[in-house]
Amino acid sequence: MRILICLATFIGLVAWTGFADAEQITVRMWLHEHPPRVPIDKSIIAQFEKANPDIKVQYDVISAPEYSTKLLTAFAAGSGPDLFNNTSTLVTQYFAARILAPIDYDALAFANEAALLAKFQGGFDGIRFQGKLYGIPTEVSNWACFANNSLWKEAGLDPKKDWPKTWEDLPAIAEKLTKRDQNGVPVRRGFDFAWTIPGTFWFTPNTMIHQLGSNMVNEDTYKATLDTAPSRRAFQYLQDWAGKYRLGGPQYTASRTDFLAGKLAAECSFGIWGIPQMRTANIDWTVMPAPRWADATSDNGLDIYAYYMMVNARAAPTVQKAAWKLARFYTDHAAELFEGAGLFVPRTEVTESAAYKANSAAPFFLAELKKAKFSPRVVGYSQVLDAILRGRDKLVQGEKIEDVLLIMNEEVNAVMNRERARATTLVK
Amino acid sequence: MIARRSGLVRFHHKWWGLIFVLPVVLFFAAFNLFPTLFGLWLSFTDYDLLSPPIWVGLDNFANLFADRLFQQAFVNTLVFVLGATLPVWVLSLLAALVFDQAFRGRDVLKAVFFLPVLPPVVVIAVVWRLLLHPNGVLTSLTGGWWGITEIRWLADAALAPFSLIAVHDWAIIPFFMIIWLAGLAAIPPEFREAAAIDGAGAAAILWHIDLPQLRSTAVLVAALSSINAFQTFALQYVLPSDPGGPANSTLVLGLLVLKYGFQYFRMGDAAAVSVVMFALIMAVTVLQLWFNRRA
Amino acid sequence: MAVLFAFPIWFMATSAFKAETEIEAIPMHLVPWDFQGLAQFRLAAEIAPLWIYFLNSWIYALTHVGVTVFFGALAGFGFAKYRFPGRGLLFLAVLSTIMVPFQVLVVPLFIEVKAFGWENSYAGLLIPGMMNAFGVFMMRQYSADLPDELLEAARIDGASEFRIFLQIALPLLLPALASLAIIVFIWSWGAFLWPLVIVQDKALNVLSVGLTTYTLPYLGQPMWGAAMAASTVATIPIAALFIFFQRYFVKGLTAGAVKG
Repeated sequence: MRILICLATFIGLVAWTGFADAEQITVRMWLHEHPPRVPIDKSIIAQFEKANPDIKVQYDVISAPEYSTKLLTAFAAGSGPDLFNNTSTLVTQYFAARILAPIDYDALAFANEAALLAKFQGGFDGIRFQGKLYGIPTEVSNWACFANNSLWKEAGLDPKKDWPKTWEDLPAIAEKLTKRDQNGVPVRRGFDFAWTIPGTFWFTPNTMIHQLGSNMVNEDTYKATLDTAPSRRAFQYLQDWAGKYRLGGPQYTASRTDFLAGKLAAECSFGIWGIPQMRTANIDWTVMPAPRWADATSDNGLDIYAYYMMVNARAAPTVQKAAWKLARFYTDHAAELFEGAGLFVPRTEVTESAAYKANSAAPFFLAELKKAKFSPRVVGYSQVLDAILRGRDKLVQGEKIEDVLLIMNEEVNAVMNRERARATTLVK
Repeated sequence: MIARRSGLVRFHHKWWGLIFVLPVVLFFAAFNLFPTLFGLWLSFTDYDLLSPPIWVGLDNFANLFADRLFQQAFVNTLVFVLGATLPVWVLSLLAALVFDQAFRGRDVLKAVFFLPVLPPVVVIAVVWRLLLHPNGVLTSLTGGWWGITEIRWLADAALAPFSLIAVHDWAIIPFFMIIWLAGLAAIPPEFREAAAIDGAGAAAILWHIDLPQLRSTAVLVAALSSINAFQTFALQYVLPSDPGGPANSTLVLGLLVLKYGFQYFRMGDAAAVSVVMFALIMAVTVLQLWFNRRA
Repeated sequence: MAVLFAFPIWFMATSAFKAETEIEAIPMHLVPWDFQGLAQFRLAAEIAPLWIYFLNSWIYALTHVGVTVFFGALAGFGFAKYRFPGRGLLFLAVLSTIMVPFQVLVVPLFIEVKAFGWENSYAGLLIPGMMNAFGVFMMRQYSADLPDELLEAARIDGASEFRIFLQIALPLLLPALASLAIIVFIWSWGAFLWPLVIVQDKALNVLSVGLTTYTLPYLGQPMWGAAMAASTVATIPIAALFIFFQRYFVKGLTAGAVKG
């Protein structure tokens, strides 16, 4: 009797799972947390599932600071998502570990690469490896500087007229906007850099170095170029900012936080996606281009980074195809994503949309975007970043810049050499 | 008949002991012994989770000694351990001596003094992070006297390690005070009375009676506080705004394991660091015990 | 002097009831001048699933206490009262696990757990570390003191060994069990490293890890009020334990110390 029941249950289970398999493909999709974007994601997914009843989407939002770690541990456990996004600074390691699936133009419903690129006005440089593309941009971001109009007015200044065009002019203006106590300690900063926001510090020196025609890391030779004159100039500037001018530094609250709280008169780490947040925080803002060096050879603003939607090469082939299909559907809603979450992608749907045309800052950002450069992509990004942050701290402590940069260069080279030796595939 | 029966019973029940201890033993075999050996093996490999492990022999260890991060963590750990053991040993003993005297309100004050032990480490870190804000509460209470308005407790590479030691000691001194008190309570009062009758003053009693009796407690406090100090990392992780502190000045070995393992995903190196940590703890503990036996 | 020492705790508890700007006030306000009621607690619960963290911490602590105390007593009893071959060796082996710092285990344990498929699940969170060698050690000490005659008498009456354990040994060991339970609860409540490494979902996280969300704000204001509220919530269970079970508390802390 018991045997019969067991047998029946067993057959039942097999039949049930069999039915389930024949019908549904589940695509596991992970995106990083960006509150304004999440409800839009959900509606897009709902529409997709309706149009594709044989595909079910399991959507998870992971908090931003932990996102990259969780991706790695999930991939290691073999339970990585099928479709996921991440930023251009981090994709190299996925490529090196062969996690990324090259674009399947069939599943994506494009004839070939040219057809895909025709829809965009750039932004793919960050995801091209050895000539092939491995993802679609869901966000191409460049930062610009924002000024808090009321705080500037308080100091008797007008951002439109008084905004410094050069880095050399910046300290003086920032000083006028800074409120200090009897010891000279800034109690309300005028302008500060994004010293402590995770992963963002390096954009600032990178930008300055790009403007002088150089780079922090040479992607072709895969060597660090931190101990060069342009690099020295950029880091010296930052050291003086905290030490000589005492206008800011990593010991204070993060610049984005204070700007949104109305306690910082200007800063440069928001992209166009920051505007909804400023709206919520009731900040009356003006957007201005990042300063350049007086003798800059390259007229670039702050570096670009992009978020790409990529497919897990280790997923089952049917799941991969479904994932690309979802990626196409999702990215086609770029206009919605721009309107609701301020996420910009350089493609006609967006630039022709009403929201874009109504956004006063949009043309400005696009213009700056065309001039900006991608930050270097390295495999051991986390370690390289750490080495640079260590250098940052030593500079702020007041150590001699030559020594700090020498060590920084050594450490970054050590990391890159090591990663290059162990990577089974090389970048470019 | 009774003899045969009790013989049978003794045979049976002896093996029950084995059955009783089996769950624990098996558990530790699976979740303790095996990982320890696996960790040792890992320390000889290069493993980044995404691709299979590559055997590298002693390379990880050789590279460690040249690794600046490791050197820094090693030094930081020694500094921290010293700061977390010596002052704690002395201050908790002093506190215990004070609270051993009977005075009004002693029990209430003792309970209040004990409060820092209660919250979980993370809570302590979070609260002190707020208190140690450069322009915050502690600055006003200390620097305020001299008109200093900004002290970079956690952001200054020279000051940060001391801030960490101070917070750690603050949270742990009451705990060791209790242990000292238990040791003091174990001293038979007759010893003290006899000495008092012989005309010994309070200081003499302390030196000649109490301290020698407290020998084993003293060793225990030293051992516990040092083992604990080697392993702490939660404070170092949560207190500064970057785990590891400004210029990695508060990066300790425990934190380095996390960094290598879960930030850089260099599992082999993480395992190697943990092996070094283990060796260090063992060495220090053995030294303490040996020293105790000699003296 | 003692009061001064404890002021940060006072600060934390009172700040949970202050408005954000008042928390940053210099000089420090000893009591909230602008009492906020439960507003900060509500805010804390909005920013992150505070009560889920709370629940998970309870689940984590209680399972650990239950398992450690029961199996620790069982094993301690077994080691103390039964002379089976290999007893000494096995006990030494169990004891040696105390010596190994968790950092040595964390990486290989993580890899092992993910091989079981337990990463980011309750199984992975709760199972490793569920038993504690210190518990075995402590219970063995106390079990050794149990009178053998009682056990023999029960045996002659025909009771099975397991029943002897349950009905005779356990009741006698109750005070020691209580102390052990309290120690294990405190350790598990504050557990940080393992949950940090193994849990990725917010829904599974425990308080100690969840608290870090309040201090690493990615964008937006630093939520110190909410952080203080959450911290207070995290401290209350231990404080309550302390107030009600002070005797066992202190006894438990010193148990290993004096006996060892």
